[in-house]
Amino acid sequence: MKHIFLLEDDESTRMWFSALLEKAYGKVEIIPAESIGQAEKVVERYPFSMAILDIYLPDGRGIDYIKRLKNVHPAIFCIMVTAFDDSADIFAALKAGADGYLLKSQDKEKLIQLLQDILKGAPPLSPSVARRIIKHFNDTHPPDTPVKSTTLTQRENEVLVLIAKGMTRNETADMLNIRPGTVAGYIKRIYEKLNITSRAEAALEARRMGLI
Amino acid sequence: MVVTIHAAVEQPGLGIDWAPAMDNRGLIVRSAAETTALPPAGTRIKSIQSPAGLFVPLGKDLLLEDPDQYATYSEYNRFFERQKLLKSVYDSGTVILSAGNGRQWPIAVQSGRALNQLPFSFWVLNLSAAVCALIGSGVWWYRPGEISAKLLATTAVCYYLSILCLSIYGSRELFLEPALFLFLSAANHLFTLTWCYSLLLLVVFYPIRMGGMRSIAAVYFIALSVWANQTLQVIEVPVHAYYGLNHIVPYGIGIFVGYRQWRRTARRPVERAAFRWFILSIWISIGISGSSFIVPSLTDNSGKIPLYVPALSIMFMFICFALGIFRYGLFNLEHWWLTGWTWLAAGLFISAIDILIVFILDIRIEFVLPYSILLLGWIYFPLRQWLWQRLAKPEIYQLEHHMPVLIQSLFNSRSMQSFIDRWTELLKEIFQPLDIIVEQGMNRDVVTRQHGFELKVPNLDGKNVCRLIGNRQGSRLFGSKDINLAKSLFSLSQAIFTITNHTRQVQHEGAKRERERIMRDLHDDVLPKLISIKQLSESSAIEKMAGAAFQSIRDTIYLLRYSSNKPLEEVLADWRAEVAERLAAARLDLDWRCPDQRNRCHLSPRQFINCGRILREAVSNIIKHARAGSVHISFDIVDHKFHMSVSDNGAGAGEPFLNGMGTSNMRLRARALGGTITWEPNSSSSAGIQKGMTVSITFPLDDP
Repeated sequence: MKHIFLLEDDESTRMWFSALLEKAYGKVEIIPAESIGQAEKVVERYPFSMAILDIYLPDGRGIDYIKRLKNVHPAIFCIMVTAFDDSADIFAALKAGADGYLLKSQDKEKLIQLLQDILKGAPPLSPSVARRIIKHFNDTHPPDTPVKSTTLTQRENEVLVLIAKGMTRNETADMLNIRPGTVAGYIKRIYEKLNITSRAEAALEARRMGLI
Repeated sequence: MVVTIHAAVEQPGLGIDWAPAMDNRGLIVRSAAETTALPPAGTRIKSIQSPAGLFVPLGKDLLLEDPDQYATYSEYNRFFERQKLLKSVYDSGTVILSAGNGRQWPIAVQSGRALNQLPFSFWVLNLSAAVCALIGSGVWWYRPGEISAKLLATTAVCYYLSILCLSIYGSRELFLEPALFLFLSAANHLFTLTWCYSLLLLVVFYPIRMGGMRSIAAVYFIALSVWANQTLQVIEVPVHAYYGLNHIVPYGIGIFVGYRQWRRTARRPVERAAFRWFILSIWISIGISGSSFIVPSLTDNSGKIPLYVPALSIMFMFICFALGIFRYGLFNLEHWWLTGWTWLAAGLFISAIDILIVFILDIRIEFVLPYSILLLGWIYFPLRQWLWQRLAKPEIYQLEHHMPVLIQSLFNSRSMQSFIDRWTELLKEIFQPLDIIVEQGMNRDVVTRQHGFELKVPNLDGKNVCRLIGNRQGSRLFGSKDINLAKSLFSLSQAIFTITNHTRQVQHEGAKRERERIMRDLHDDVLPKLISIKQLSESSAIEKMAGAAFQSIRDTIYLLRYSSNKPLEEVLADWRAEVAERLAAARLDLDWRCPDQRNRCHLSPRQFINCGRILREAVSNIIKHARAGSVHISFDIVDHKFHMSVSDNGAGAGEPFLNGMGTSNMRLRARALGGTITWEPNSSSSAGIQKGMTVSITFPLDDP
């Protein structure tokens, strides 16, 4: 039985999102929490395989809670949801280790499809987020960490550039002569690298500040 | 100087201080030691004679300080004849003074006199001349290579030497050993010629070098020949045998040369300032000294003014030189220049009138003065005022002229940058500099640099300074008046700047806070509820309506939150992603054309939100009604206008659609953008699309 952690403070949202989750995944156990404080009480009690996190919570940001969740449940899928598609917030969430994101305002069918995609390893990517990721990898060159895992491969770069121009995933696949699934895989890898580099940056910064 | 003291002291004398008699009959004893052997003060002595009977009448010519004051050779020679006579009288060892009324005093000739018996003028002459010599040689020692310093030193030293000679014979009681006297007189002439002509050369060489070594040699040669002429008395110069060529001629030439120098310095304010100071010091002091001994001698008023007066004014000249050479910016030249000139001119004018009246009208000098004063009052001053108005450019430095303009333009400035630009423009208008350079600098003071050639004024942005180079197109220097003006303008502008900035900021802050509050309310309360309505409703109509409402709110939040423009590429990419997604879901083909240049244009939030909505509506309409197979969307930028067209190859549309809700919304949005929107059915001639509709939107882009 899938255990899904739903961290969202608005009740009506919880209502329809739970319905959505059941439509997407079938029988699932949804554990809600309204705030980080409440979340702490239940986070270790269940074997969560997925967490749906709202970015803006009354006592903090969902983004900052990702790390804690992944500490307790290393294999957990973290999906950020937001009402306002501020690409800065989404980018921050991805840097913090989110595995995907959803916009609450999208159509129900679309949301269901996205939920399933994310689980299959095909997370979404919008042009504005793609632009931020490109900029991020252009700007950061952490010297201490091994090169391979923190810079993008040429293919990954190409995917990012095409998405940033507004191509859909299928169009991107066509233009690069690969399958849409491969594109999805690249996106997933990009998110991981984003998380790694941002963690590496944070560690470097912390070391520089003498915190660790 | 020790030599002169010795020479002056070792002269035979009687121990009597003489004064001239008004009617020129004899001399009056001014003071003498209180002994019975000497006549009491006030006694008029008519003659002096030797025991052998040699008789010499006394007259005021014996008290003449400098025989140069005689205008003709014959008078000069006569003077020395009398000196020789006196020598014979003194040689006998005893002289007899007779008062003409029978009283007589026999007096033994003293072979020398005490230091304190040397007249006051002796000391003044020597000391002032020594000061000049010191200054001249000091300047030369400080700047040994410069020709002007050398000429100045020559002038100073020769002047000193001439004064030395003068002081010896000028301080005589009645009589000086004629041979020595003649020698000293000749030496005095030589040195006088040398220093006057050296001074002339100095004007030729400073501040702009206008002659060469040849002119120096020529001038000195002329001076020497004049001296030879004077000493040998070959040719007599009209007007005045001694002062003519010695003083008046070089002075006149000097005026001419000075005028040339003035012309040469027209565009060189630094040299011009140096020149002004320099010529001013020369002409004032020479003017004073000339008036005080040349003019009286021309009108036969010799001896009225003691020779140390001109000597002191010459010393004044040297002191001015010294100060000026090191730092002529010390004097507030602009101001003193005019003041000094008018003052000098007034004085000279009186002297000139005197001379004129005496020579032309042949009136005695005592009666001339009232006429001079009258003429001065009635003619000279009005004349001066009129000339002043005409010649001196009126200085529009008044703040009253600039203030209204300044204040208005500063308050009207739209942005901080235009405010700062207005400030530099103002500086340009007021000071009309040759150049104005804005560079980094933190100094908040108004200062001049390079002796007033540059003015540094802080800029309003707090980080830079404006360097103004060359006041009034380089014709003058920046003086204290300019500094004060710049300071007041700056403090005023700063005040206005601070006020307007503060006001703008307060407004901005207030508006920003309001916006943020509204946005937060919308984001936290309204948005989630709308979304919930959309997601929870069973009715697709309500779902769509809630979705539309959500879009509007979201756009509003975006407008409130973000006020910066987005580059066109980003906007188009975002639109493309959304449209491509929707069309793919509706199984429609997409042909997307972007403008080629992608010239760096930006869209304001209002623009990309509204246009995006139009695009969304158009695509929705196509998906819903058109029953099309493919969609063709293209963008273009032509003449600062944005073009977007959305075509489909569907069924086309009729009247009801064109007047319906969807289209009137799009029309509203297009109008909000200041643009137009049209719907046209596709004919075979348009863009290769056979049927369906094309929606075209055009709106103007702002200038970047």
